[in-house]
Amino acid sequence: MKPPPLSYSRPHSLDEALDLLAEHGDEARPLAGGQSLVPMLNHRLSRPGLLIDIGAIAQLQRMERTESGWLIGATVTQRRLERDGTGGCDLLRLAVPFIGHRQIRARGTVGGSIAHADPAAELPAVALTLDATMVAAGPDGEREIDAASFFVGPYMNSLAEGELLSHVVFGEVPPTARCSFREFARRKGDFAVAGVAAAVATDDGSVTDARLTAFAVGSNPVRLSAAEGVLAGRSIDSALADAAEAAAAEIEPWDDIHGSAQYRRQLIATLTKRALQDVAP
Amino acid sequence: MSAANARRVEPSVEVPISVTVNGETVETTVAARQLLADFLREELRLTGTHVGCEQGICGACTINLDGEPVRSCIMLAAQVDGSSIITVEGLSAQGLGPLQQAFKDNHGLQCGFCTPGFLMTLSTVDPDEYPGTAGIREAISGNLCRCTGYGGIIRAVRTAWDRPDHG
Amino acid sequence: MADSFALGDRPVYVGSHVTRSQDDALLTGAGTYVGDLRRDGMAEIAVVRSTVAHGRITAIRTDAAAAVDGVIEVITAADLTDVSPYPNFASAYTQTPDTFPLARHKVRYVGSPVAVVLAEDRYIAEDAAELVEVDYEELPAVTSLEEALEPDSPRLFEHWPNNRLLDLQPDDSEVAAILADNRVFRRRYKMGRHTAMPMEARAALAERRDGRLHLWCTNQHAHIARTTLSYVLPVAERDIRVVIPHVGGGFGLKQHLYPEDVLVSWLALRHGRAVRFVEDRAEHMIAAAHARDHMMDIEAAITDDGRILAMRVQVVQDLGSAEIFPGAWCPALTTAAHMTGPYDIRDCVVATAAVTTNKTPGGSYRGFGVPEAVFAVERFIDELAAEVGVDRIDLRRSMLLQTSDLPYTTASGALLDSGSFAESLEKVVDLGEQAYRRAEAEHGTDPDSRVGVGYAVLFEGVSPTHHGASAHWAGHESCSIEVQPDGSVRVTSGVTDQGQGTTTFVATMTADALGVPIETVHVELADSDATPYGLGAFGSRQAVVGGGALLMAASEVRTKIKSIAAHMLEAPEEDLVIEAGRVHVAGSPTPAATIAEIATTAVIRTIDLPPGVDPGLEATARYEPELMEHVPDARGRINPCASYANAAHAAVIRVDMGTGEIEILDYLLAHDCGRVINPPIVDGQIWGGIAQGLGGTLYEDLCFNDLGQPQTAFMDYLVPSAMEMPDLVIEHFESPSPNTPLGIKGVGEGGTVGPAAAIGNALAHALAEFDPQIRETPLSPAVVRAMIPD
Ligand SMILES: Cc1cc2nc3c(=O)[nH]c(=O)nc-3n(C[C@H](O)[C@H](O)[C@H](O)COP(=O)(O)OP(=O)(O)OC[C@H]3O[C@@H](n4cnc5c(N)ncnc54)[C@H](O)[C@@H]3O)c2cc1C
Ligand code: FES
Ligand code: FES
Repeated sequence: MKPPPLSYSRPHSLDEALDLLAEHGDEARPLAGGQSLVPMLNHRLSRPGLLIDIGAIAQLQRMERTESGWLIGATVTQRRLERDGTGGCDLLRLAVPFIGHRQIRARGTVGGSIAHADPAAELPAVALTLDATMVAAGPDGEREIDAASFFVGPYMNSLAEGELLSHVVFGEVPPTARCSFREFARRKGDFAVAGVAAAVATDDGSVTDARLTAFAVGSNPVRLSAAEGVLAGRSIDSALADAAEAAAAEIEPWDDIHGSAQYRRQLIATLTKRALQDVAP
Repeated sequence: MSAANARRVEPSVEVPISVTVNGETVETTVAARQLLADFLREELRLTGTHVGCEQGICGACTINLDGEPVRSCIMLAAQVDGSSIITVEGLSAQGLGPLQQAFKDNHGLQCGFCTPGFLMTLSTVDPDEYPGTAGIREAISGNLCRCTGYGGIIRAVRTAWDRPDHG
Repeated sequence: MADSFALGDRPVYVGSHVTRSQDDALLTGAGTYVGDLRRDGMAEIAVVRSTVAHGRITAIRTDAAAAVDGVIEVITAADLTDVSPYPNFASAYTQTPDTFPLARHKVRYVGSPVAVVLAEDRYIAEDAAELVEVDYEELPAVTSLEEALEPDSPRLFEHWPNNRLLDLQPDDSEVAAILADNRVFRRRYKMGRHTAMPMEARAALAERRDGRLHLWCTNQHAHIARTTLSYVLPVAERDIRVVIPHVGGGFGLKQHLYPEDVLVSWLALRHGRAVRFVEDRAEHMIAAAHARDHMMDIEAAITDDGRILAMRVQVVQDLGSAEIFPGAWCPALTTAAHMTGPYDIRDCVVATAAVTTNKTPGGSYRGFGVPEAVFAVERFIDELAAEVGVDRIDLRRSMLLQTSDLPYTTASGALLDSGSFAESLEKVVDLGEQAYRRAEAEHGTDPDSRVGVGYAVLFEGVSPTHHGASAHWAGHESCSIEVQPDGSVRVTSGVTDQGQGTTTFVATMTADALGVPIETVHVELADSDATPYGLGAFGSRQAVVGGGALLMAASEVRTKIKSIAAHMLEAPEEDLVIEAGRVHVAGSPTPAATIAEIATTAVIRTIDLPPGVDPGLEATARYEPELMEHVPDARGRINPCASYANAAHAAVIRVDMGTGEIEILDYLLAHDCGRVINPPIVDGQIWGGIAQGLGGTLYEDLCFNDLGQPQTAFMDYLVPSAMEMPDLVIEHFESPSPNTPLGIKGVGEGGTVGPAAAIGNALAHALAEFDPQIRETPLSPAVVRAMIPD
């Protein structure tokens, strides 16, 4: 399990990185924390001729509040979020500890996780729940991609050739919203078998804004729009069972060695119910 | 930024690096694809960093990289330019440090293959971030041990972190 | 037991916590595992492995690989012209597989070695291995034991009439008659496929030095490895040295002499350079031995109150391709020997089959057939109790062997000479019921939870014969003790240390048996040039058999020390005691002769020796337990072990009704391994064993699809972490065996064998309202969730 032959480069500016990408085309791959890419190299599931290590590019390490939300540079590590806080973004705070182990989070980056688009990953689910904006940097400047159109299949994103993910802006939720992140994994730190992210705002007992996302139960994280619809205008308590049932029905899960599609539906029903109990006022 | 750093933009299969390992500066050239674990073990002959899976799961290869516990099997040696690394060999200047002694006294190791990884994780994290016995379990959850069932390891950490035997 | 097994006059170490001498090195990164070794000019290999489960090799093209810069040679089976197949020591009831280090003509599992690239380093070797092209004519794959049992299933070994490597069908007419006359209860149980998964995978480094082959490897027995190499390679055994440095866990998996051990040896001899193999984890998943994968059918004639009058059992083990040496059919026989449990069941007949399938060869793994038996028997008793409407503990009590019944030979032939079956059960029932009440109080009202408690009581053979697996070796062990002129002591033995504390027990027992400070004892193991021939590590045998040989050798040395001291001190031998490295008359510490003075006399100033005493202060002894049997009788009965340890387990669990996850709230066990040498090491063995037992019960599963393609990568092979492992409460009983040295019974496997049964029974208890069928492991959350109606 050793990486295939490759060459390496470590640009110090975004422009240099983009130049290299342009020059080497699909031969080249950005290397962020390497926590997904290097295992893939070791398994020889990936054979880039050139790794462009984006770890030394200061522009990709920003973390700041902007008008549209909480901006996180692509190479900000998951550990840094855990250590320095998530700027009041509660869902992110709840989700990060579920990512692998401390040692993985020490290197793994926010941008890497989102670009990698693992169906079972936490951060893409958070991005989708918070209607995040992914900002791509390319030869012609920046381009915004909304979360719903960023994930286009398992391990596939909608970045164009020559583009890098520069940063992600996680959107705000209404001030009264409460968040929950529920995940079922076989062991602590394993990728989820199923998970649900929730941000729900209520006014006087009835739901005014419901965002529910399921992950690890399909090609990409999905918003549970039927369940969200069930919740609208009702009290969480009264809609709990219906929402869970709707959630289980609307996903398109698959079988694997950790469970059948049917089992994943049961898990989503359970996790939806529990997440909603968490956020009930 | 090290002198080596400036040349790095040009893609190459041989990468010059400058890295501090257990307090000593190492200036050398590594193959672009060489894993950090292999660099430590095969080039520097620091074989205390073990390799159990080469996919980031078992934790045997954990080292201290700039103060964080990191898997050296899923990092390239080329990536550590300008960094500072501590391996198990650098944990104590002489004999056994307190954590190592606690492992010995509490039978916290059997085959010892996983042990350097546990020691490096534990020596890097802040005990206050992992309160109680549940905290100890969490702190070591990214390191697998197949021999001990973790009983001796948890006792050792309790001793080293000076925690009561309950809670 | 004879006097020769006495522990010396003033034992101070046995029974106490002696810390381990190797720990200082292991804790500072100074351990030397095989993968840590390097030699000047060393080359490395990568193995090209079969990608199909069953097929005929029609072509292998190695040219492109051989042309890669840095590649030294690429070899296939055709190059190994001077290599012999692994030996086959046939027994009356086995067929012999054809096992060769590289696949010849045919592959029988995904992962089977087909070609080897020798290159300057592993990176290059892997580059080249990818370029080796192998053409297969694919054959239908047999992927389950049920399929393998079908009369018309494709055969792995075409010269066999079927896929039954082992087929032992004893006459069952007596039991059949009892079954015909009584109420009968039947159940089928299965244990899934999992494996040892040591944190260090396999490794080997071979070198030609002074015209001899030197092999450093991770094998569990230096001498068996050496002998096997001499059978396979054209090298005299005298010219082979096998060394086992630090090993990162073996657990049985490293008992086999794998193809790569042979291949690096062959290449090192051929090229005159050191050759290293360090297995990576992806290879380990498919090429290192798998284990378990058993089916047990039990039929019992019962009374109306559930007592078992007689049992007829069919055990079937799925061996995978069986291309492994020593063979791996023995677990099925061990399962058979444990099918009565520690119960007074007068008639039991077990038919045993072990079948070949197109999966990774099964091999040995801690527990070795016993977890399978305990799971089946203890689940059977719980189901039987429910069927006849009696309390499951009361049913056990009505059949359990009492101390007064011992010694007792089970219907399968095991000689239970000592134990605490009833006491250990009562202890865990007491603790278990308390813990269950706490769990009820805490979770009883939560609609998302159910709690349950389950019990298992068991005996477990320790120190087994090797004959069942190899049909060749038997059960002895060796030890040499040599006192140097300065009084320091060198001990060598055939036992080996994979981390279980072997070195420490050898030092501990030697120090006590000779009456010397432990610091003066130097232990040397696992170098076939330096140690007497022994069988090494398997089946929790080392403290029993190695300890026996050690005590015999020590006794001889002790006698000589006293006869020399008697002469020096002018006192009668029988009045002398040896303690702390000095010999004196009991009750008066002076005058004394030191061991150094005595040894100097024995080895150097031999002119001072008493008349009739020969020079030298050393002894070598070999011990083979007398009561151990090696071959089953016509009814399949055998007493395959030197002794039997026992335990009772209790698990209190909470089932998450939404996810099906089992949370272990309390895990309690009472354990009896006879005399304890080092309490923390015994506890460490139990903790580690339980972790592995729980892993196989709840998490670990080696899956194959119906093409025989392995489905479980390391990422999905869920070795429990500290978050999954519960705290344990361990109660100790000590029932020394009258038939082993010091009454020691092995402890290496005790924890592993109980969890499947205890957890299975706890789950049945927790979900009783749904009448779940808990007859297979692993009990993954998905499996458990399916037992719960929506
Ligand atoms: C044992 C283990 C357990 C893990 N468990 C989890 C888990 O539970 N949940 C989870 O979410 N993740 C888990 N991970 C993965 C981890 O979170 C990774 O860090 C993450 O998926 C990728 O981030 P990275 O920075 O390491 O990216 P890399 O591995 O460097 O890159 C991943 C991919 O994204 C591309 N990429 C990276 N950055 C950019 C960018 N800025 N623009 C465009 N493309 C880019 C790369 O080219 C590559 O294709 C685990 C990993 C391991 C080894
Ligand atoms: S070897 Fe690095 S995590 Fe296993
Ligand atoms: S001590 Fe052997 S793996 Fe931990």
